[in-house]
Amino acid sequence: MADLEVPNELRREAKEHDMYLHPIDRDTYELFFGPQHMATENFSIILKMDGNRIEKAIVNPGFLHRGFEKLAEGRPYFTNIALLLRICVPESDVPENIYSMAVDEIVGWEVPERAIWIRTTVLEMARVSAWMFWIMGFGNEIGLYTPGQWAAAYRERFMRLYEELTGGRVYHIYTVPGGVRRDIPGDRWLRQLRDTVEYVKGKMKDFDEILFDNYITFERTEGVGVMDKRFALKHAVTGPNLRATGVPYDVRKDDPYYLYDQLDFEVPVLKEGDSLARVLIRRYELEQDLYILEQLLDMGPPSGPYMVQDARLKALPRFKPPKGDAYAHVESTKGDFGAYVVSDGSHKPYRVHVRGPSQSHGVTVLEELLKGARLADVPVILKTLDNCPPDIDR
Amino acid sequence: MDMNEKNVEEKVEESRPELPDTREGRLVKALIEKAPYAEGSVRRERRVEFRVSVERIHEFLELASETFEMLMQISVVDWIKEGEFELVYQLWSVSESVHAFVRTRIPRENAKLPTVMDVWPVAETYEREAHEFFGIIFEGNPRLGPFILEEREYKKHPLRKDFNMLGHVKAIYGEDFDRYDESKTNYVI
Amino acid sequence: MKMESVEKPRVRVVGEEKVRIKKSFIKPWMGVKYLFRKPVTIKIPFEKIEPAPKYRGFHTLNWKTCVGCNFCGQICPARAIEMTWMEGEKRPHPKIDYGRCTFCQFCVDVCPTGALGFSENFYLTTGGLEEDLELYDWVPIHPDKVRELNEKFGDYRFPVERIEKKGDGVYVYHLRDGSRIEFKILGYGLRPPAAAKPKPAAKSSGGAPKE
Repeated sequence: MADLEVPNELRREAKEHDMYLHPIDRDTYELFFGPQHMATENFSIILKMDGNRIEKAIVNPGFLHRGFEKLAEGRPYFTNIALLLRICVPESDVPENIYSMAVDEIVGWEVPERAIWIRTTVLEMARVSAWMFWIMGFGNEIGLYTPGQWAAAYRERFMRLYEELTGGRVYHIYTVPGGVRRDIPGDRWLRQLRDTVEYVKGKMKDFDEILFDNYITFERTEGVGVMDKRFALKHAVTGPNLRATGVPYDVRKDDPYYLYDQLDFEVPVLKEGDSLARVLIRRYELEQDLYILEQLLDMGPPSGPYMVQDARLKALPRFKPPKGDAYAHVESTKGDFGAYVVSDGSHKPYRVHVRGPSQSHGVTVLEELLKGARLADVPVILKTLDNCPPDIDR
Repeated sequence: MDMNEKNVEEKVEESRPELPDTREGRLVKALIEKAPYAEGSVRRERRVEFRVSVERIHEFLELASETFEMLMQISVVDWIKEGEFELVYQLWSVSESVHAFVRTRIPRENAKLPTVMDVWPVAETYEREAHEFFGIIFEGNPRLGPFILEEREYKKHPLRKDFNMLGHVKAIYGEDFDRYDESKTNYVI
Repeated sequence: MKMESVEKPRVRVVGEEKVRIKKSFIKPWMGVKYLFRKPVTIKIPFEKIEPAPKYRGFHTLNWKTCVGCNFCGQICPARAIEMTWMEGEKRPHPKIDYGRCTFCQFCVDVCPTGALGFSENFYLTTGGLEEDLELYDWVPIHPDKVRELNEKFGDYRFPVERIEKKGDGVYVYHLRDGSRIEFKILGYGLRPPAAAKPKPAAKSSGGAPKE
């Protein structure tokens, strides 16, 4: 503890405000990263630094804990949609869908074909708009602000489509157990969606030029935050992060839900497991998602009802599913998003447990990957893992 | 599921019904042969279920980890009427594409369990969460303690069914509440 | 652990050469062409955006058809709805608190008579004074009136300009076009308050507006 440069008064004042100024010795110090940092979004990391290198990282989540699982136990089944979707902000349709799928399985409902088509389309639109959100965040982290501005503008087009379909922009509250809440507003909406997909597809070249082909992206991400296949499986890393290590696991292919067994798409896999591989996987998946949306539009929505016909739905607040439990999961842009719902036969769920992908790659994996990294690599690792703190906190 | 249903299932298990001759059935059969103390069944396509007593849960999970590479979640359900916690280990097999529920029950009082961190390091996060929300102690996990919650909530283990949410909120934010339930007799959150 | 078993033929894995791209020093400069394009930003005071038709905005309520069943109050995830007894109305009507409302519109979905509806209006800004904040807590008004106001002003603002709270539970809604709606709130809850009952003597307990 020699040669401390922090004056004692400052140290005392910091202590009074429950803050820490911890120069451990001349080169080693403690650094609080977040929760206001753009890269961490809403959680903080306590870094033990040795000069510019990280010796140890401790993830400190909990800033976004809103107790949704507890609140869901006190509310009727359908109402919980309006709560649970707030678990994943950039793609709020994913929690809606996993919860609805689990409740559908408990009740034993056959969701109408039209509703299935709409749900698949909504999920894919959510994926594309979440990729746009990710491009914005990732571009900002490595200092390329322009693609982020473009991505925000293109995301706006999808938000407009959501607005017309669901009546909401960010939180759609659209998919409910048994179907969806509204029908497609007409052929005009389908034409608009096709136009938007075409438009974004045309812009992919610009994204490639300015972001993905950019040598800055390569320099910043190559060889940063490497994990191998064995490590990734042991740590239950899912989604693009797992595929970047060489495991071709995609829920849409392995546990097909909705229309995904009829759709034709490719699963990109790379072997390196570094940040660059994760970026490239994400870029390719964005292309594939646009391609899936085109296929869905070619298929066209089947005619029929968009909600199951069930007499129990007449008294919606008192709707009681039978006893049972179910686990449903979908592939989100961050990974395998799952929900475990237990029903005890009353009108409120007995237990809802959400498995966010960041629970596995946002805590232990992040702590491991940050060891030995430079301070400037922290945002890059965070953004290429695509960490979403609300998944951890819930 | 309540006691009645559990009894029915136990009776079914006594007669040991034949597992279906599907991919899932064969998978369960192979695992049950190695671990005869566990009960296994096939729920539906790509969903299998195991019931293991708490004494041999670690042994069983270590065995299961050969087929099921990933531990997706540890879900805890508080069955307060029976005085038990049910732990559901959600496993996923990447090679076989099968999801497995491994269920075990422990008494609510003084709940203790061996950790599975040595099998899946990611279990550390799930166990920390289960510990702070339910108060289950995972022996061998070094990082049990406040994780998501603050100290004052952590001590009360809020996801337990006997946690008085309203009382807690009132204690923290005062009596300044204006929302009642439908019959206008109780406060609600 | 058998790591080799992880490879699967079922999943259509794309070749690495398709995923990989080459890094380039020159290509990023191509973004300069965007300098000569029209910006997509909406210049707000000069340009306007219209909300989508059926955008989930503020509620409307047909007081004639509302039967006071409290389905809306039961389904509301944010507990924003409180049943309100008013003088001259046989059944209670929902009062909606926009400090809590999440605009999920489940209440509209469950309404058995279709009395509760919604409009596309979404602007509501006030100062921080106590009487300004009254605006966030209202019994919705008739859809026809809201539509009429929308056609007149067309800026999707909250249809009520000011809510005046007089003594004795009398509320006055000053609408944007200058008209007024005046009514008296007797009490809250599912059961009729003492004041709503035909006994004129028991007026003391009812009509205490909450704060």
